[in-house]
Amino acid sequence: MSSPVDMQTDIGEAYLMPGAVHVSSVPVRCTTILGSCVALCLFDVAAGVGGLNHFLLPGAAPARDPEPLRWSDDACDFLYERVIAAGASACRLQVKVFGGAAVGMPVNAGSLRIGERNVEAVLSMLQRRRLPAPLASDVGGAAGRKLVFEAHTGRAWVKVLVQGTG
Amino acid sequence: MNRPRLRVLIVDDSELQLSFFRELLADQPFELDPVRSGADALAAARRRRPDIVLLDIEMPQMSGLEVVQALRRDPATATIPVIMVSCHRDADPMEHAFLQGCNDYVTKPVHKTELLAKIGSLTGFAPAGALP
Repeated sequence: MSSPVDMQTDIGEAYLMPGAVHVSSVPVRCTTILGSCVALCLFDVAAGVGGLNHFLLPGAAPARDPEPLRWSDDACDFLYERVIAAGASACRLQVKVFGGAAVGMPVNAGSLRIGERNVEAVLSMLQRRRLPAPLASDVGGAAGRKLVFEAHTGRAWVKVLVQGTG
Repeated sequence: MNRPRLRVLIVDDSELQLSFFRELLADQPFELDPVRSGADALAAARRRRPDIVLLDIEMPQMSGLEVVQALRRDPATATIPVIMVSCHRDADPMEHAFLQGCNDYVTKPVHKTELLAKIGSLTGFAPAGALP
């Protein structure tokens, strides 16, 4: 991944809340904070179109859930459809995946393994959609992450948020 | 044999928000310990050693960031999992919260499934109604 000092300064900024999706065909830099949640980034550099989501839970939203984009299946399908609708080509799409930590915990501790299951969910969506394996990923582990993603270029920066280093 | 109850310390200066959490978690086998200030939270954490803390990030006098920092400094409370409850719509507060030692976060309005999943993931306790 590139160093943050390489970032352009003349582009828009967006903060992505948990359960949100952001897709853009104009230059924009998106920031989000990930613990056990996962962000899927899809982009087509040739078209200058990209986007990301920030989902919290693995699987499909229950019927009548008012905020289905909190669930992996709904958030990833929605992102894919929106990126294609914004002008990306399905055959040129590239993928990056971030998040899914178990912060402060030994990996695999905890009966629900929510971070690990979120990562498994996004990888299975990539297979289902016949999308390529991630060009870059930083998943799992025991620390939160700050993700900065440029939707129009697909460039991403991750700051690993280790306790006591701020 | 009775299932052990999970001790949950809930910290929020708003009585309304504490009531919301009491209702939200009423059907869970949790022993809820609601307090309204950072100072009370630190005292309760040392006295009763909760299994997990739900901590409002924005409080007067002592903020959630200061509380999590103090919990991590004290060997008696350093490893208690903390879920930060945030109403912020920018990255900085939660970036700082992780750097101070919080384990995860939820945003207001808090969703039950999401909160139970995070509690279950951080404690090894499978709450009723959480993810299968």
